[in-house]
Amino acid sequence: MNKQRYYREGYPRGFRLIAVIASALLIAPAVVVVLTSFNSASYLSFPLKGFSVRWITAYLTSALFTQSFTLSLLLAAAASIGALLLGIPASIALVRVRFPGRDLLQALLVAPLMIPGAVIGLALYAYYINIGALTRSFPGLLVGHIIIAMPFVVITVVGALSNFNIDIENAARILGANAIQAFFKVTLPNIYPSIMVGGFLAFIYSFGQFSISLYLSTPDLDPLPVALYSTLRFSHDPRVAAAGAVSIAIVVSSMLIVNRFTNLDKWFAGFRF
Amino acid sequence: MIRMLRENRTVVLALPVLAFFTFFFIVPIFTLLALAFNPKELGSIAIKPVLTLENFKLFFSYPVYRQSLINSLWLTSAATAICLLIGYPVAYMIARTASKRVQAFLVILVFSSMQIDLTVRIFGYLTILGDNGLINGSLIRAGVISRPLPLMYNSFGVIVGLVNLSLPFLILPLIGIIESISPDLLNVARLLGCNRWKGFMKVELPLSVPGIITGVLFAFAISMSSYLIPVLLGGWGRAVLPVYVYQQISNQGLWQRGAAFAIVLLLTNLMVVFALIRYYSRVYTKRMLAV
Repeated sequence: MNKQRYYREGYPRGFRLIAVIASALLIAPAVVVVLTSFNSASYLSFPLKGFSVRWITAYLTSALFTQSFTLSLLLAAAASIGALLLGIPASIALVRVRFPGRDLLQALLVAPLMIPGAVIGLALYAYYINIGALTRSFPGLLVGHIIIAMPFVVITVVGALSNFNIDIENAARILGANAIQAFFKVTLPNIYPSIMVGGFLAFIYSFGQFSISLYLSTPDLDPLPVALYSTLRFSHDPRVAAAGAVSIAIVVSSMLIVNRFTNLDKWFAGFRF
Repeated sequence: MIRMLRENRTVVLALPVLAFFTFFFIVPIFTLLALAFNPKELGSIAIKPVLTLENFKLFFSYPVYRQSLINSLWLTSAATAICLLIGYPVAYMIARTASKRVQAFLVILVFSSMQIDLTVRIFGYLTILGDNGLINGSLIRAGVISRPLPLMYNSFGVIVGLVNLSLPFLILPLIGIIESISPDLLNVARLLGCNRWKGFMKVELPLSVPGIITGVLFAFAISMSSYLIPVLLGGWGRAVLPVYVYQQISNQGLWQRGAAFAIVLLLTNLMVVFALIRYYSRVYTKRMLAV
């Protein structure tokens, strides 16, 4: 008898239908954006008028892409690297040491996910003005992005380290490796996929971040989400759809790659409040 | 044995991030708090050593601001409830499906929709829900309706947007919890005479409460803070608190008021989060005692 026998009967009644509805809700806007970006008409219309890459070309040659997209890319790369450099050591301490205030520190590092982006952006802006530095500068913007990227790194790496059997590292220690060697030669290669995932999620979250950038972006240059918002607020510019289609392509293909070398469904599994 | 090798020196690894968060997260939040208690002064952000409650009084004395908090709370609660109802089955299928392909599809779908630029997703919804959008356009052409249905610039539009925004954050924490519930428990319940649905309600649902709490916590906090969705899909009739925070600052230049409004938003959020975490630890302790 297979112990999974009862699951063969399927899910509780109605689950499958609800899951289809939920998936449709999640996928619908992305599908529409991709379709619109290939529409030849200069206004939004359904059914589509015809197939054309003119909006994609228009987007790829506009300042939206050459400047804002590039800025967002740089910003997201720097923010995810910063979050990894600060977050990995912190996660090690969180998992391996019982120190007073441990739970508090963990809550602090995940808090940016639960505190309104507008509040963090506004608080940082007020802070920068009062200390007289970093206001509306790239480093100031970067700091905000590292803060909001941190939860993704911490959740992922804490989860991976909790599931990692520390006896393997201890074995390396007994065989003569010092703490640093043991970590880099044994533990790191084992949790490396999770680190990649954490860095990836941090990267894409920073790339799409709007609220923080609204308060902190430099006067002459907006990151892509803010630039798209300014465009979208006043007109139905099909270039926004084109920009969307490009970023959807990036996100979906990177998720496909990430899912190949790690179990994304286990992302949250090792993490507990 | 293990403890011997867990060196307490390791704790220094947390110091850089602690310093970073102190300087760029905790202190700024307190700066905001201090600013909120300063008297309003047009265009000035410098902290002054004067304490006043006038910004908070103003917030609670104007019906339009009070209403924005109420709007925020009920729109967010409705969206979170819908997220839980439709998100749980998705998490359940990801955790329990025997097909690797279905699992990969759903996981990538959930992660991708979490990571696709929100502006882009809203653009998609504008196209679907607008007066001559996908739904209304098709229905009118098919002759089902003569005037467009009000799908946008009302609560419906905002809730649809908020559900799309926070659904992935509710689903992801749930998957691991459901996976960790042994299928044997359900099998036992089935052998003892429960039907499929009752077995789920009596065995799996109660055991997944910690995941539900984490997911609801994320979904609520994230919906509550959204500025873009209410602005673009709701219009001014459904103005929520984050909208007024930005409006006080960008349109009126009154930073102290904006800060006070932001603090109200932050405190509301934290109260809900703490209430949920308290409930969670109670449930959790009860569960531990029961085992």
